[in-house]
Amino acid sequence: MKVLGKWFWLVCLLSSLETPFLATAQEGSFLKEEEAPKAVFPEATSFDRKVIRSTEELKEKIRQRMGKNKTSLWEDSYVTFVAKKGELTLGYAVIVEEIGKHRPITFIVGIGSDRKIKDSALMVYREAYGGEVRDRRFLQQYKGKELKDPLLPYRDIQNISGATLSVEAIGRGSKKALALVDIIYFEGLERK
Amino acid sequence: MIQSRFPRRDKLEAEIELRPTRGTFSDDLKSGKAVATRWAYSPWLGDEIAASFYWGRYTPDFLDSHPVVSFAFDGKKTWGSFEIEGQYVNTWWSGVNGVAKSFARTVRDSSAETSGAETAELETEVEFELANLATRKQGYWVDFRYRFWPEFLNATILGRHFSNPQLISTFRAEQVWFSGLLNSVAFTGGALTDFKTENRLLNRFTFGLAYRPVPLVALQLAYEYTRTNQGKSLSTVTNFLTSSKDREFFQHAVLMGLTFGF
Repeated sequence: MKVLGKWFWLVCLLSSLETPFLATAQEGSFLKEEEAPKAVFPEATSFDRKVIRSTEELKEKIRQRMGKNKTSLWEDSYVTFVAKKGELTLGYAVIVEEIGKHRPITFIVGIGSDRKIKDSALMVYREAYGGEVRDRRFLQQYKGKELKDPLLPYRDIQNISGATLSVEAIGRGSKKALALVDIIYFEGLERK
Repeated sequence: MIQSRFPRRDKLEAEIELRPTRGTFSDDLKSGKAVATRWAYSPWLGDEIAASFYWGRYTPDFLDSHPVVSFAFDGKKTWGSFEIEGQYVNTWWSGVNGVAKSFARTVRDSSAETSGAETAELETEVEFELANLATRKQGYWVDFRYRFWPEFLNATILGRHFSNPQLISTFRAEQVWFSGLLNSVAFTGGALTDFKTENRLLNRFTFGLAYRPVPLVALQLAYEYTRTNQGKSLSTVTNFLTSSKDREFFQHAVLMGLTFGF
């Protein structure tokens, strides 16, 4: 038992060391609105901010494009950015929200001129669990995905155990952003 | 249960079941300190290896303090829709012999009150059933899971209303080795008269299928085969109540379950 006692105190020490570095809270605000487009288009030199008001017509068009993936919440409006490098349009970024388990996850989706996701970044995470969806290695899976892809765990997205609802939320939100950019910028609903 | 039985009023009999558990059963839970930790490393998304440790008292607070110590390794590997997950656990219960003696002594000391000439010389007999208490248990489980969804099911009630329903087929194998498993302890007048232990092995195989329409709901159906050493009863190493004496070392079972998450 003497040997065990030494081990006990060693484990106590290591556990106490672990706490401040690793066991951090998962909820938090990670990106402000003005920082967000740069996170998905770091090479851009300017961003044109545009707010798209949500209408019943827009919702219906998004719904059609999302297929069986149904959004968990409809925003009143969408903050979008046109990313430019000089005069060249690199792509579009949309801030979207989707409910994870109980609360909305706010994130930005960058979509290239080829209509594929270029990058995503988490802005605000409000749940106590499932915050691993913020990891770069998770979000990188969405690069290159387009509207016709399922964006679902166990289909084309590697799931995170214990964060399945957040993983599904990121997929739904990404699909909503793809649909919105498709409607507003590629099909030109904005100009109509 | 402690009682004297007719016609012997001079003998106090106690039948006690002692089941190992965590904590001290005390009202003040803070007096039962325990340490639990798990260190995990995930080299890639979907893959993880981890080591964990537990140290805590398993005896009630009216007995001597003895800890249960456990360490485990677990891991998970994913290839697309296919997953392997497993864990090895090794657990020691310290001072099992002393716990049994201490328990018998406590029972005798706390209940031996006599009166009258015929019960002046009170003899105490304590019989224990030490449910699943062993000096050491070690074992592993390994799960093989495959997730799939046939497209034709989208036209049925199973898939029509859901965005990502899944069927999950599972094969699970597990083995547990019990060392120093107590099967009977008897005391007379505070002296240890019987203390029998044995080593046992438990094997279990499970085949299952789960239907998961949404992440928080699952319906499961599984077949399970459990077996211990031939001639021994499963009831001493599992919670099974076996029926036939000559077949009590193995059991077939069909499991049905419904799981909800909140």
